[in-house]
Amino acid sequence: MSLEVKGVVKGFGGIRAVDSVSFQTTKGAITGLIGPNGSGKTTLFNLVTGFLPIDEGEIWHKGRRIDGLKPHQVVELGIIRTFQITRIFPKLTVLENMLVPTRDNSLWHLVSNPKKGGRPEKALRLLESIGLATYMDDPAASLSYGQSKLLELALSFMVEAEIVLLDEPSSGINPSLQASINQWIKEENSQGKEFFIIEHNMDVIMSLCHHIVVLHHGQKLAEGKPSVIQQNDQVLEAYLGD
Amino acid sequence: MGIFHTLGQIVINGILLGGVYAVMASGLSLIFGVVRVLQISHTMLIILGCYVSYTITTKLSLDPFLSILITAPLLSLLGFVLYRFIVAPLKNGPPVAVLLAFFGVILILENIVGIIWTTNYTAIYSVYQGKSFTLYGFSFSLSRAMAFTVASVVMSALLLFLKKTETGRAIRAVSQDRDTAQVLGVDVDRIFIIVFGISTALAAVGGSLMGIIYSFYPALHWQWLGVIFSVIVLGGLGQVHGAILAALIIGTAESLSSYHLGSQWGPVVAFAILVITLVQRPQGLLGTKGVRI
Amino acid sequence: MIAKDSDPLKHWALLAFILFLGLLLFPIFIRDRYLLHVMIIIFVYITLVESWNLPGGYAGYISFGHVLFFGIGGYTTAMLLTFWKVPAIATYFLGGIFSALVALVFGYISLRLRGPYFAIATLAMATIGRYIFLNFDIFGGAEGLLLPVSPWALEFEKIPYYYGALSIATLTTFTIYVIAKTRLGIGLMAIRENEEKAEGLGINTTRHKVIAFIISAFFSGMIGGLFASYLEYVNPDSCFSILYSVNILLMAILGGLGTVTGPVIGVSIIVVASEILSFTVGHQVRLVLYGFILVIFAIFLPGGLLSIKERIHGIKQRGFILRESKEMAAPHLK
Repeated sequence: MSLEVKGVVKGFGGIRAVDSVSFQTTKGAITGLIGPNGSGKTTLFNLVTGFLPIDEGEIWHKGRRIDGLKPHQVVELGIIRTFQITRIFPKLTVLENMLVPTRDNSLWHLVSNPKKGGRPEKALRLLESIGLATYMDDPAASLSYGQSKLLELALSFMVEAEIVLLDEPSSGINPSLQASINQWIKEENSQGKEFFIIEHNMDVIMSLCHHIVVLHHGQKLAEGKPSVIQQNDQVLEAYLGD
Repeated sequence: MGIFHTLGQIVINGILLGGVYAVMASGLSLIFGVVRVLQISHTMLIILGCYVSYTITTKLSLDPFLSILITAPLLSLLGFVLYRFIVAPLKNGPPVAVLLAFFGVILILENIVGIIWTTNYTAIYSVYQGKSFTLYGFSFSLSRAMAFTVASVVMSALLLFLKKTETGRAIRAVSQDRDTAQVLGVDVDRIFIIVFGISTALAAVGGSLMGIIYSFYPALHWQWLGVIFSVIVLGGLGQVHGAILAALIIGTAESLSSYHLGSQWGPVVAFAILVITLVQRPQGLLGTKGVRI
Repeated sequence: MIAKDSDPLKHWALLAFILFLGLLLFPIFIRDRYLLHVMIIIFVYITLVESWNLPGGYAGYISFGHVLFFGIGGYTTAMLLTFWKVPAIATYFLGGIFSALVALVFGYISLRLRGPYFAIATLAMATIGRYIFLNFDIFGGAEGLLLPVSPWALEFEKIPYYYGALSIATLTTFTIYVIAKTRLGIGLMAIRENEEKAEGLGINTTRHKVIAFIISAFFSGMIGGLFASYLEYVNPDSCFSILYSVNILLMAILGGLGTVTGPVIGVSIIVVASEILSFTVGHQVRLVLYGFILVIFAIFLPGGLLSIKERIHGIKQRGFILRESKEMAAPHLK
């Protein structure tokens, strides 16, 4: 058990975006988070990663309570995320983008040279594996949408995180790129990285995930293996009903 | 009995002052809440209002309160110009650009005013100067009391306008949720222009009133910017009701500190209130996560 | 594993060195006191703008009240020199330290505000600062305080201040140059580009911003101290006038935010232009002109003058930041 969410509640002006949700993720697995639009998936991500404070409940990671921490502190513990709408650093070069992620904010580290410690080499390796190496000195703003999504994924791999939270990694990109991303996720996962993925694309979810959590109207509707979820009437109804 | 009397007197002076602060702040609060730009030249416009009012009063031998009827429309023209040439072009840019542009506007206006009217202390003299009356044992300066009355009338008119008229409702809609308002058929650009015009008119009124109470000079707007900013933050950004309440509170606080500590502590107290508000309750007294009037 | 210097870097370094040498020798050949004065002003503003640029241009937190730190440095020096006879150079350093402390407190409160609100907060801070030094008698009120007169003979008296200002300006510029290439530098730039994303990638944004703010205040405090002893007086206008902040903004924007060379260019242009203008038009007309320049730049040229070159040639103009990365990491890709 890696990430544990216990009875988490988050409300906005009377509406419960996340309503007493509890589940656990399995260490080293790929867990999917699905549900119709507005079911609270991104809100849950925001709560886990410290971008929003929880109203009630607890969030645990490796025996340590992490709700209430600031986002960078969550990253320092080894949990990193991407955003639904791609966010990169437009005027920095692609390589400079790759050198930003960090798990260390100590003064000593801050005055150090970002080019030391093998990071540019690692960044370049990652960029090469997604075919962005030739753009490394170009401003990130010049990348296409698909390329910037890849870059964002690569950024999350720079910090040797234990858990990577991906918010709709395949939205808005063509199938072949999607396949590349899936391949990449599988490779990183085989090396021990745990994933927690929000997705609307059912093919991606079913092929990638070991375990699925379903949200609907902020509540956990179901949880289990992909094959089980596929047969679940309530889940089907939730998607068709909306 | 004596302490309460002094205290009451101080509080009354503070409230009278606060009324004028409310007029000064409400214009800026509207722009913050509706157009969502940081119109830092607002207090400079107020100063411009002081000077224009001064000229109209002296050249036309007009009662300073009546001169408002000329000053306000004149200044709203300037408001339209500012919107057209500064806010509209920068609508989609980074907010800092608008800030910088308005900073430039401040420089331009402050120095033009200095060239035309010199930088000496000026004040608007009126027949109400130096007179006072007593009510329930408390003494009221006539000019301040009249300024407060005018301010109250103006603020009431503003609140009524916002609540009862169709344009007013449209303004409130835009301040709550611009996109939804637009989808529902509100011409958002037209609303922005109107808000700018109203806000500048309010600045003119504020300037005319302030100019009767205190003497002024071109660079005074910096000091007022701090006070007005404190009022707006304390009241909650975009909340006219909040601005009124906060203005009265800060006016009273200034009055109290002037009496007990000396008049130089006034702006310091306003600033301290600003800082405390920002740290403890950044949304202000009446503010919420979503901005509302 | 030493990277081969890329050509542009080599050119810049050589240019900088020649320039520095020229500046060192300048007072030996040129004794005109007016020109020395202008150079001192240039060094003062280079210090101010370079240090302003760290939170301003790199991190995107534009301060409208930077003059506060300059003034605190000035008054600190004045009081230490006159009341406690502390040696001058120590007072400059202490002026910097004290400004840095104020920056720590104020920064921690205000840096949590988003960009434009932060700018207004700094404006409020500078206004209040000036107000305090104007209205409380220990600071000498509107008259201010006098500093000890320089013991040097009239014809030489500007020279030590020339070298002092040059040293501080060089130290500041060099520090900013170095910082831009550290993790702190890249973190600040990430904050400017997308603060939330930076936070989500592990950057402690508050810490980054506060450190930048403190460093910026330190150097400005130091030069404020030196300038105070140069003028031999401090008063609320010589130390806290909003005009300093106006100039800083103008110079920073003109030269281009977020670079090391930008401030030098912007400062030189504005100081020279101001001197020329002060002979022809009144000081108020000049400010109206600056106001228009600010407005025009804000609307049409937010990248400063350097961005014009950018747009014409379509080349990315960068400071000398991380350019060698390509050679370092992948020499085979050249």
